Amino acid sequence: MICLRTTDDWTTATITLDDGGGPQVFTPTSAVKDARAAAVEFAAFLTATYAVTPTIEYLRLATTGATIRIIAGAPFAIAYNAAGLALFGGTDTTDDAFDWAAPSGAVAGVFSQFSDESRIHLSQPAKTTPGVRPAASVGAICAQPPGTSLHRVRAMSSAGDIDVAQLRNALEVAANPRTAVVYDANSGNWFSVAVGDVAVSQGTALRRRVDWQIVGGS
Amino acid sequence: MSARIECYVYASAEASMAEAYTLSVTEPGPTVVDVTLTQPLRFTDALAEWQTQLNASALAGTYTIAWAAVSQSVVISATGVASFAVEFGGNTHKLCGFSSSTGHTGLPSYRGDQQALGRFDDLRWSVAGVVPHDDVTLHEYRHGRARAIAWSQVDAIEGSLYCTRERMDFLLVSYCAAGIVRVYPDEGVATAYSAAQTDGYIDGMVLAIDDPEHRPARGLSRVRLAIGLGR
Repeated sequence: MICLRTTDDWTTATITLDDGGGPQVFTPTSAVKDARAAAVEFAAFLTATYAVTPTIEYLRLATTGATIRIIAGAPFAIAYNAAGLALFGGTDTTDDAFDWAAPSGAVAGVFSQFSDESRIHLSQPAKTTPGVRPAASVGAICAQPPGTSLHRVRAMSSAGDIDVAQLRNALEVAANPRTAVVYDANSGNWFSVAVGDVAVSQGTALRRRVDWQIVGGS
Repeated sequence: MSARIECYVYASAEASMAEAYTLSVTEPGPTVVDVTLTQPLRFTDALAEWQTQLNASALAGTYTIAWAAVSQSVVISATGVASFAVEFGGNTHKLCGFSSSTGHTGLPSYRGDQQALGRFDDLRWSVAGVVPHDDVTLHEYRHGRARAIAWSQVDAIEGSLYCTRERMDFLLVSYCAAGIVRVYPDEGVATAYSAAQTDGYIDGMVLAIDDPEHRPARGLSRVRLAIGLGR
């Protein structure tokens, strides 16, 4: 999953929860600039407010595309305000898990390919030690622009028509400078990257190939 | 599945531009009414606008201005009046599929006699879908830092368009060859392109219509068509 930093004001979104003891409202802080950060803050809110230990899953569902699922482990009545609906794409009204997705837009700034036939392929093929750019900042991260580790991440994926349309939605709200966090399902790590060209080319008759020009990777 | 392309008409309230998109209708009497477009409209909407203005005017008849797919041209007809005459301003007659701007008199209905330059139905479009077309500059700095700036917010849809040689000659000089157009990859889908409707229509700017290729042996001509659409 790739979560782009977006131009949205995430602080305008609210999620009102009620476990029977009265409503509690979650509002992302101003530090939240992408959907992944919103999910992490929301999980922390659930823990602090309801003493549950939620888990976060990053999925691609066949019907809704990119999906962030927060499994709370306890049932809630759920209400999103208008901004919350637009940014989270949440449609649940009562559940013990929260799916942030929508067929037409997905979560703001998110692109995901996690189905069996459509997977983002991440690779860190070699250490990045170019002669003119000493890799002296091992592990260092600057918010804007991002730093890199010794390894460079590459991302590519195959995509169907819906995925390409959701990619368009994600890029539409991407903020400048264009950065994102990329999830590596194997290691469970997130990489902070600068996002350059996103090239979509014809793969097979019904599939496209998506190549992300990304630099970073800490 | 067939494709359709339809132009947007660049009318404005400025006098000479408005005149270029004027229909002049004369009923026996005579009663003369000029109706015009004063703002940019999609071709189909332009027809509706002319029709609305005619029916709100001092004319006695009830007018219908409709697209006729079978002739690929516009039909202007009236009821409640024995006959009327219509004259087209500027190049509007070709926009609507009439070879002449004048000479349409004495009948209650007129149908364009050639391919309209404002809309082309029943095309074949081999297309790979909407793809990102933004211009991104990625700078890499010392210590492995990087910054990417996206300078545009545009996608593109590009493919090969096929139709008969005769219609291709019209298409290449048509109102659909430049400016803003609406493209239907599937004429049967009347909703806009989105993740929920990936074969929906697209409103965009013609980036290129070039490399025409006439293939007599195959019976169809081909042209490359690229449409840019803002995000």
